[in-house]
Amino acid sequence: MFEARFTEASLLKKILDAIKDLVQDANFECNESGVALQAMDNAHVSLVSLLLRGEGFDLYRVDKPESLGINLNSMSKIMRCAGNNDSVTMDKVESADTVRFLFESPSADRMSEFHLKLMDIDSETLEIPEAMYHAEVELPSAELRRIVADLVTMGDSVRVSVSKEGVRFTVKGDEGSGSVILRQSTGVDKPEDAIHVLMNEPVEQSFALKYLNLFCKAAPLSARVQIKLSRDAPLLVNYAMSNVGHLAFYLAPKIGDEEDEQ
Amino acid sequence: MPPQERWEKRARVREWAIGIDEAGRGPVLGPLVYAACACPAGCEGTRIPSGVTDSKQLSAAQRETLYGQLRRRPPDQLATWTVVISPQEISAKMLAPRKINLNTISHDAALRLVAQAIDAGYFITEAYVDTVGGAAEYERKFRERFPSLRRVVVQAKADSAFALVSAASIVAKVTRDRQLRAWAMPRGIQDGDAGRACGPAVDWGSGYPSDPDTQQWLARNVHPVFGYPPLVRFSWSTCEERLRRHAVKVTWAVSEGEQLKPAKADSILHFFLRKEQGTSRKRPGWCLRRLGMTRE
Repeated sequence: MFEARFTEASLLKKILDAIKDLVQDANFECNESGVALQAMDNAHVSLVSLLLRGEGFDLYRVDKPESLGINLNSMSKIMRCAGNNDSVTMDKVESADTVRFLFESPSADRMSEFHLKLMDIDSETLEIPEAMYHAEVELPSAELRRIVADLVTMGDSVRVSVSKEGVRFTVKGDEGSGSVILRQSTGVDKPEDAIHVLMNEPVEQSFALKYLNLFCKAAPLSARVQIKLSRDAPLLVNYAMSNVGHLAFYLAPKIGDEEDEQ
Repeated sequence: MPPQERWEKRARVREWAIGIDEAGRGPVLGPLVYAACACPAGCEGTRIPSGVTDSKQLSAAQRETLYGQLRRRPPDQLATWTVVISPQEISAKMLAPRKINLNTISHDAALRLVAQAIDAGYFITEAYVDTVGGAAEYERKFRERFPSLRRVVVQAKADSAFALVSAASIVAKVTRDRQLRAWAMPRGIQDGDAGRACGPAVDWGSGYPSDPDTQQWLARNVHPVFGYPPLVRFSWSTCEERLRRHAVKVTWAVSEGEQLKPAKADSILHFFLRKEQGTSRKRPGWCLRRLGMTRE
């Protein structure tokens, strides 16, 4: 028996919206500690890692660890049937081949339930080492979304460089080029707008804007986003959901661009 | 029981110590040689010929004599292995789009030596290594790759501190010297000096970039199109400078405005390793490939 209840169905909806364009099918691994999902996009360029801790749910029960293979698009369709303030309960009995979604309005006068067929998904789990990153940037997620949305109109790839002056996003396209630089700021009036740049070593890497743009769909999940970079390692874009868990994206750097620079 | 089988059996039950050292990291010419010398742990005093010490303190003739003695020992008393990394391999790895630095090349060679010893049936429990790069990381690589090692000592000047490392340094040095002496220039390549054919006894000096003889040889032998013969490590800065000055400038068919390659995002699988389903055991060599760690 697996049973998990969230007061805010909207949170689950936002998570699905953030990853369904990147990954079609994925396994939700449910065990005592929580629900985890790890999946790569079709081109194997990026990796999504979602963790929802058990204590983040209002009710969480797993008798035996289970792997729920779900088509994210179908799940997203079901989640769209939830009202904004509804709570959601997901459950599955051990032998069943479907998972049930139960939506309840706050006043408990409306209930809807949907069953989603589970799939057998052959997925590879990757070992993600706890790497030391050369540079870490924390900024408002809306800011990152805006930068990426602005730059994606200009070119395919963005060069992210962290130096003493701050973090710089540079794009070069056929029509022209552009760059955005963010400097360290403490956000005296609004701490939520602060930009923290932590640099152990200067880093400069190129990434596909297409993927960054998809990652930024997770902005509604968290007001803040962390970006971590290392030379010769994937970029980490992490949206921490307070008390619940995190949604992290890893993106392989573009190699070709580095050669061109030299 | 035939003698071969007998010593193999004995080698397995005894605990062996291995010492590793290299020759030819600095020179711009010739191969980098890694050598290992192993003997039963605790028997270094009786198994290693007397007179073995840091190869730098011995004359070439002394090294040759000791090398002969070391190689003649029966394999159940003392064993040696070598890994020769050609200058071409060094150039290729250091100049590849995804560069592998000399430290990583060195670490891989040292790990390969231990793997060879273990594959040959020796039960290796102790390793003594002269350090290259960070000692702590180097030691960690050994421990991760070979969990059977009970003792790993990675330290500077190990070639004078441990007899096994001294012995390994002699084997490495002699192997490199012999290879250099026997180096045959590919057909058609001649020493640039007055068209004189490049015989076995060439005057390239010590091979170190600081040696004036070596510099003169490099100056004589730079070809405007092909650069240097395969004996030379192209990745050394002294070569790069010379090629920039003396070789012709190449204009590639692709104009500079165009991109050399279609910009292609690399796969995330280059960075993360697949985890075997159902097992959480960490395999040695797992990890970010390009953070300078070894691969399986």
